[in-house]
Amino acid sequence: MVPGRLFRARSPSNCSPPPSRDLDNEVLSSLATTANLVEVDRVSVLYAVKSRRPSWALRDASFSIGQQDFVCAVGPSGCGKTTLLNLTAGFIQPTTGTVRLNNQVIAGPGPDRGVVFQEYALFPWLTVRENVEFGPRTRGAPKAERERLVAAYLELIDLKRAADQYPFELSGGMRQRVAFARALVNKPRLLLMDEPFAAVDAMTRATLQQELVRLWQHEQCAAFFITHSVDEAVYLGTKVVVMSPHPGRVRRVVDIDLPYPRDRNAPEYRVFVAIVENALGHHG
Amino acid sequence: MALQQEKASHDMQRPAAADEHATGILAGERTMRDAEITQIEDAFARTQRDLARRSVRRQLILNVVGVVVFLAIWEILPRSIRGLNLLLFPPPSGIVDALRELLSSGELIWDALASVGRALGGFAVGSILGIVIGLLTASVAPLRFMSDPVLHGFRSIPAIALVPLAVVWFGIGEMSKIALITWGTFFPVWISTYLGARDVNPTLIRSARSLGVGHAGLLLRVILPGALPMILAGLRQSLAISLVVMVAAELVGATLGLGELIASAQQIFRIDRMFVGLLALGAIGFALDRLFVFVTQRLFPWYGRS
Repeated sequence: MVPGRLFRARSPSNCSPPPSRDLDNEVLSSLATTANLVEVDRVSVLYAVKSRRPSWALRDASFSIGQQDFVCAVGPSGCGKTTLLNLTAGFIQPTTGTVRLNNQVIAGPGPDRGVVFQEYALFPWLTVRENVEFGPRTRGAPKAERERLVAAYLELIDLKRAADQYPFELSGGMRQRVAFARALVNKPRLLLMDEPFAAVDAMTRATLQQELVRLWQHEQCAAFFITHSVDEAVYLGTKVVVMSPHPGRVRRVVDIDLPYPRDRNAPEYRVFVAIVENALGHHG
Repeated sequence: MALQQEKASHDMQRPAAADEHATGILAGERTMRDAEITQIEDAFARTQRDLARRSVRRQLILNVVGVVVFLAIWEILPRSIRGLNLLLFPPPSGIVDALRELLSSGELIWDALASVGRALGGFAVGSILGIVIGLLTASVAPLRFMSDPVLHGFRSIPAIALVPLAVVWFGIGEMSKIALITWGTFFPVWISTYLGARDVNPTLIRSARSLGVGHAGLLLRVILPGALPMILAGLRQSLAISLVVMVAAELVGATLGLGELIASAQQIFRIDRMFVGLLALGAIGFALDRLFVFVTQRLFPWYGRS
């Protein structure tokens, strides 16, 4: 353990950055641009374990997500990447440190942050159309607007023909596309994704990755994507947050300076894959 | 079959070059005409439909055969045991007369209607209370901790044990019967609603919250439908219980009802009438359960499909 990065207990109210902070260069440079969408600032999350000392899901993690960023968090299981997503979504609160969205501390979940889960997150009692309509209906959008929105987003994911089917009638890949439409129809500032392609087959995954880049560019929102695949992180992200487990912490933030759509066979692509793999330190 | 023949004939028309052999199957498919494809699809669909229809018919025939075999055994068994009083152990042929008598006098119909009305009335009240209280105790923690000991204590009292008390409090009219059936049906629905609501997939709840839903919306639009499979299981169980409690209440005292029919037949030693009452109860229970399954399948096409 590096002594300089040891966790220091701080009260959550004391969140003005102290002058002498040990920060990675990447984080410093992202702090310089003030208009970041999300600021994860020295965040730790502990959880209680029966008859043992509390366990660290995340220790002293800092990074940021710019307004148009596509940030991928990559790391082995237990590195706290899902905890990061849950914090940003507002499902959990940090034990210490702060997570801010547009300079406001995140208090809970909201439609400004769409979430796509690994699987089984569509409402099984609603049809595809009704699933996508859930958000607009919740905010009380009039019928005409809801119909227009649903049609537009089903068109966008190319699933108009499945509008009246139930989730159990769809393939895994189709279900995830519906999950994307359901999140994006709310026009979120940030799209959060927790290994959304982990349960689909490799060929479908490659297609969905391309489609996701297209959706992200079309919607012009920021994205935060959790994965344990280095290739997936480098293929999708403008920025890769490399994490390590026990305790979960941010090892390094790598900017992926490659144009879209990315070519997996390009030498630069392989260089970035090597950099991220190296940062991971070939953990287990 | 037709498909394979088509491919084979194409292969034969071509010169047998090594290259051609590899693409033979593809080439065969490419030259299949649309009309031919539709024809094969139609034939396949027809065969499938026939198979399905035949299997349903077979099932129905076997159902009927089962009933006939049962009636035959029932008819033969009491007659084949020497010294058995056929008035005490009537075979089906001994019941037919009583059935005709009760049908023509209208007694059976009115008794059945009175019984079903009570059972469904109590079932409706108990179910609604069970669902509402189940949802509330599952989602409001203080309410759960307050109500847990009381509800679980009451749950352990069988509804039938309350029959004497209900008669004292509400008399032998409709009120006491509905109250008893409500009591009996409430607990299974409450327990299953509570468990179903508590165990709704947390990912669904998180999804809903990140789509902007509030407390009331979460309860009505996510937790209620998410708990529905469990609620339906509880309702189905309660439907059967409502008949049990209904008969128990009617046996104690009623002017109309299948329980009363059976009790009064016993008074005048008409075993055949008692059997008619029992058969009617069996038929009603079976019909209500089928109806329940039919209605749930209609209302919730996604149910049971994950």
